[in-house]
Amino acid sequence: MCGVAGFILKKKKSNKNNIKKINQILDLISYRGPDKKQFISNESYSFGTNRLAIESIKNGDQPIKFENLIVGFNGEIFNYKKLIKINNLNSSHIDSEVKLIAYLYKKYNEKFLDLIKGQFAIYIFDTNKNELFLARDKYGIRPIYYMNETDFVFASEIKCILKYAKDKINFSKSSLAQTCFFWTNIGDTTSFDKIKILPPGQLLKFDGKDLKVKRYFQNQIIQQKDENDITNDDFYELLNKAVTNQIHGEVGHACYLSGGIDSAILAFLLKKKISNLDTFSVSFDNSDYDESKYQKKLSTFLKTNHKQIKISSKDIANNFSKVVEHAETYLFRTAPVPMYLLSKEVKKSNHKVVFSGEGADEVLLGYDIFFENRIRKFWSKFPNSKIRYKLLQKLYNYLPQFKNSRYFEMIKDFYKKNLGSTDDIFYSHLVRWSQYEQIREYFNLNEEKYNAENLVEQFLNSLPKNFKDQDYDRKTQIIEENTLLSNYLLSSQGDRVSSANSIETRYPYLDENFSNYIFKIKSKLKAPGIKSKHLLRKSFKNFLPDEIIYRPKFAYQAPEAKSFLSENHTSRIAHEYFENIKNLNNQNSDSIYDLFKKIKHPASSSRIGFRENMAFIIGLSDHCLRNFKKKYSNNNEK
Amino acid sequence: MKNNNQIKKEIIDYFKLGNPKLKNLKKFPTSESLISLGYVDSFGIIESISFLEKNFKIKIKEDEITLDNLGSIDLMSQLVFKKLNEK
Repeated sequence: MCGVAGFILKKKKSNKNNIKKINQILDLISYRGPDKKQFISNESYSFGTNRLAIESIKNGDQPIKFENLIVGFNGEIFNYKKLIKINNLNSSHIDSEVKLIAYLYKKYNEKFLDLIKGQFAIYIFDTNKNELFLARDKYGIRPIYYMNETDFVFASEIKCILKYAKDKINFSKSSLAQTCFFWTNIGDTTSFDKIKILPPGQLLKFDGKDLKVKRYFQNQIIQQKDENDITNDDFYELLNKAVTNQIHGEVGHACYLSGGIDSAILAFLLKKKISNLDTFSVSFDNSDYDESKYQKKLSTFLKTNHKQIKISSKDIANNFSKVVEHAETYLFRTAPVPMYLLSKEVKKSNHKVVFSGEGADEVLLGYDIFFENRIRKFWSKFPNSKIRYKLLQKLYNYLPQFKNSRYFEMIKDFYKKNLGSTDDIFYSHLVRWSQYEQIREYFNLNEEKYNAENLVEQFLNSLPKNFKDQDYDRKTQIIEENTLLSNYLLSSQGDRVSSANSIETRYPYLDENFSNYIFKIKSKLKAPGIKSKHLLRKSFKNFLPDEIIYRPKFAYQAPEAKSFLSENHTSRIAHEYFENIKNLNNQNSDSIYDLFKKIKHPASSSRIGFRENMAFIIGLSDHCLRNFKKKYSNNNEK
Repeated sequence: MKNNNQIKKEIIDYFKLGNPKLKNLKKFPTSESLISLGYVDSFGIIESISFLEKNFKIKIKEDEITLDNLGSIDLMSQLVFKKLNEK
């Protein structure tokens, strides 16, 4: 992992000025790459990298000049040594990933993206053609933002662009609406109107005038493998290979251990290669969220050097604004905060790289939403059935309102919403998205363009063209990949909070060979009925304790709104937010004041309703983003 | 001693606090399930019960958690009224 930044001036300025600028913006993200800062600059452009040295520590400085190309990147190319071999390259000449990228680009142009496997954000400037090329990995593990206004400027983080820009940049109301609707931004939207993100699997070309963005990676649609074609051994080997490929670099590797099966399997596979494996966990003093029993069991079983941090509500409140400063976007829940504090702990142990289980729920069908979708479809065929809806109770058994059948009888109607609309291409997400109508009321989102149907249409336009042709499980996967996975789990809760502590995350479940293979296996084999991640559990059942293998899903959550505010306590950040509400023009201040009253109400429950909580956290993050913008803006505008 | 209308008002006020959409309705729906109408989400049921217990200092037993007792604001206030009278 590294931090990259650069700009192309539409009107030349002195190189001295440009050097000052590139230094200034790289310094803002020095935590992404504390090992070395370098840049190449002249009167027309500057390109730089803060390097976190992991692979080719001695030879990998960047950006490099490779004939007419200037090349830098953030990330890892996991098949880099293999590509050197296949292309018969002289490894003393091509002795780093960045040089390999330059070589491959020269030889294959943009087609080289089909050859490299990894997690990356790449920039290449062709000094002959004066053309800039940017590309981002297929799942969007590493970020890259850009803005094409007075100048063209790009960076790993938004704060660099804010600091660079003389242009007036406003908050994006679309981003606020999208977060209220989808829980994340969609497409190329960021929380700032003129700043875009290059979406996962896409590339960008800018020749000084024209800007082109296109998708280079299409989603897999083929689903053909039947039971006979995949054995437990195959599956084990595939994942083992994914993990082995990602043990890449000349530094040590650690692993997160949540207590669930995904990270348990990663730690198990890593431990076979790394005898003194360090594992790290978050625990909570609130038992509703705590998984430490399973974490301890696993670390003892796997014999890892285990470190655990305990998170209190106070930690959530004290670190939320710092986390928004790194996430640089609206947040709908607090769960990135513990991950920020955990990566700090990893850093303290002198690590640079940590493995994490993200992606397993998407690739191997782990999320409840896949099964909620199946159950609703099944129920819709006989809506008056007294039995069919009860499967939902089985599915959400970890939530108190489901565990108790009496409660459940009362809430089942919640899931009946749009039950008959099974032809809707977004059927799987209709219940989740229907909450928008309530959440938007807290914000000033009355304009027509923020109506549900317009947001959905915008989302559809951002998806691959073949989306509509997929089966319903694959559709659900694609929706998740393009919302929660890339724009939240891998960013706000992933890259952004770990990079903040100079830690790089690795995600073997998103390994390209692994995930592509898994996509070809029929859904009913991956997860028949409502058996989530069945194939994964089956393949590893002989290697881990039954308690872990057959442990029902327990979604990672952290203490929410009540951490900031309760009957007798108002955190500093909540107080500041309260004082500032009148200035937050996107928020409906009367409704937010009511919300404060409700959370502080002596008779309110320890966990407030989902929507109210989401509105509060989004509203609070809006307040924090204002401070963020003030801190990093160049022109001191408010 | 609170009468039925006072109880109902306290419940309605609480629901309105966290729900601008409900607050802005011309006529607050008191005879239908707020969940079926889409105003309360699945977490809402626990929250509602917790509110009734804490606010009115009553205890709602497991077997009282039914749509017949809690399926609307009217029914909720009747239950609370009954419980307060039993005290």
